Amino acid sequence: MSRFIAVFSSDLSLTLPVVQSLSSRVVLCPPDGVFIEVSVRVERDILKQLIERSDRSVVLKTGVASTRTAAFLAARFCSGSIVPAGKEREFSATFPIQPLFPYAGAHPDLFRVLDHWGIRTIGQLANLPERELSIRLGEAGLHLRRMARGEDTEPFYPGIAELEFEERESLDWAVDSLESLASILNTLLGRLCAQLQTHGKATDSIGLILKLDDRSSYERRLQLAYPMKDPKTLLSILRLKLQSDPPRAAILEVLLQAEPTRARTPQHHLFQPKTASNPELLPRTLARLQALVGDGNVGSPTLLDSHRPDAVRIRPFQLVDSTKQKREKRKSDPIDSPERELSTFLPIKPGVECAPLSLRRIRPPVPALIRPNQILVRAGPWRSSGDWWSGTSEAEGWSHDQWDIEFTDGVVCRVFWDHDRSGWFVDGVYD
Amino acid sequence: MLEKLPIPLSAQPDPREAVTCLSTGIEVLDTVLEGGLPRGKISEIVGTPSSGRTGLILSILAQAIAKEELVAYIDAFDSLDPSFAIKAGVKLKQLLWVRCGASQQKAFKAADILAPTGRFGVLVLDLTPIETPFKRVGGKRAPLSSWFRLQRSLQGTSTLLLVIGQASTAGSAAVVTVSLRRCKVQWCFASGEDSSPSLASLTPFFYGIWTEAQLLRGKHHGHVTFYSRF
Repeated sequence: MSRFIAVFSSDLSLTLPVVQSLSSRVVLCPPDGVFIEVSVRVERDILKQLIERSDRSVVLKTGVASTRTAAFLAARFCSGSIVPAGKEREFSATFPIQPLFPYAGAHPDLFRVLDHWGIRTIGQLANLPERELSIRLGEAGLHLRRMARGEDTEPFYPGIAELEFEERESLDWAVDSLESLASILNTLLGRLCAQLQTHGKATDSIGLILKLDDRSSYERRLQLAYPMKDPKTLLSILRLKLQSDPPRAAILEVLLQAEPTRARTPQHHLFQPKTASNPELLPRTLARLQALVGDGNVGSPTLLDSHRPDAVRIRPFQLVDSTKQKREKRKSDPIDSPERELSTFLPIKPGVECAPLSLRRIRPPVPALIRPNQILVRAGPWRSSGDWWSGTSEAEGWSHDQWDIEFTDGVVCRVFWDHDRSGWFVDGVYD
Repeated sequence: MLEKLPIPLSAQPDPREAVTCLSTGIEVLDTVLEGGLPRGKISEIVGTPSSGRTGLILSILAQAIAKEELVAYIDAFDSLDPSFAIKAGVKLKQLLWVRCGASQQKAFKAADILAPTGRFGVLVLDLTPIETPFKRVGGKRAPLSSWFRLQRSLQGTSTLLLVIGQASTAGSAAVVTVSLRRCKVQWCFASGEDSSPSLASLTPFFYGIWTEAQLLRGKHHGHVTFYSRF
């Protein structure tokens, strides 16, 4: 059986994170209250933890009952009371009816009518005959009467619009070593992951904001390949990031932000070692690679919407959800599928196998001094230009005459004549 | 009587040791390789420039991706062109590209990090240096001990480590070495007929490369011919 704790706070912004760390089944009671749904066994524990963890400067009023209305009345009129199940009506019988009106959303004129009738207490309102009340006050009167009897008029839908997962620590003195910072991060990550765990969430994006001694700030966001909530793994990822890209001054304040996402359960293979199928190890592996080769050099390639040669960008590698992928595959147009691309490699002659041909790029293209006697066969030119409208810098626009050339040593290259630089460049080798 | 006794667990073959193969996507080559390239081992694909090595690698990656596996490409000299990878059937979402900025040492370290994870169906270690008629950037030959360390870390995983280069470097650490040789570069005209270089007055189009693949290291020896084209 579920019970409700009504909490009214003098500063809800301070109380709400504490409440959210205790339970995910929470709903706001405007303007300054919140209801928590709990089970009978843990109601006292949660109430105790709530009071212990709350800021001492905040004034809390609490009440526990089997319905939200009874819990609300208990918190408003007799803070700290726990109403036994089935005793809600008797408990609130002597309370005045006035505070019930804003909670029920009833019109103030209704209060004047009831006052004129001599109805002053909740008990008197609850004892009014249903039929007669309905004739005189309509649906609003019945709604108020049900609340006076300690009943809830709407079902409980838990959830607060935006859950924020962040942990902040202001330091007494500036920290300038990674080891000291790691111990602070360890504490913050422990709290952050506990919050995520409470709400059944994980994170695939961690923000690290450090306020530095030189009044600047260090802001980095780490995209994780797989949603996770393990503080040890997250700490090792942050350590690798800070090792490869350290802040330039000592640290005064640390703020960690986690973007919540649905937690996934890894599915292990029967005949594979656990390490092979544990996707939570992948983000750490990628962090190690990033520390080795640099941030922009690890990830999935993406083609940009441009005709510029080699228009490629690397985006963070994300582990594809296989069920989602299969669903997308079913929906996708077969014309765009890679299988369609593969099927274009039809045998040139019956019995002759075909493989795809690729270009091995040379980045950046190398200048070349091409002599006519080096060329065996040439094809081209294919002229392309673009981005000349976007700026005055030479790097932004391009204008190329592209050729495919077979040289005398048998190597087939893609070369181009750059109109801006007036020279030949080798773009790559067909291989 | 002895036949009825159960085989002790220690004497039974480890199911993880059962070698599975990954198809190359080229049937004749798979026939010579007896099903494809073995997983959990190192295989090499070597050859001269314009011999179809990269195309063959992309074909193997496409085969792994068709099985919903993740693949990784460790690119020592930053030479992969993703637009050609798409044409070969590689889904870029499932491809992890590691650009090592012309450092073979970093490429080896990246392979050391990725190989033991077992998350990737195919791990390509591209050590091919820049090789054009105008510029050649070579790399140092890695010591054999590095290759054996990699081989050791692959054990028990289903990852196929593919090394691509000009010449065999992994030595006996590799179980398969396929050497590719360019037989003929094919040019054609708009009509689609073959042309000889002497017909230079007409505008030719680069059409593809005939490649001969020879199995230098493996269970059997043999050679096959296939065609690489756009």
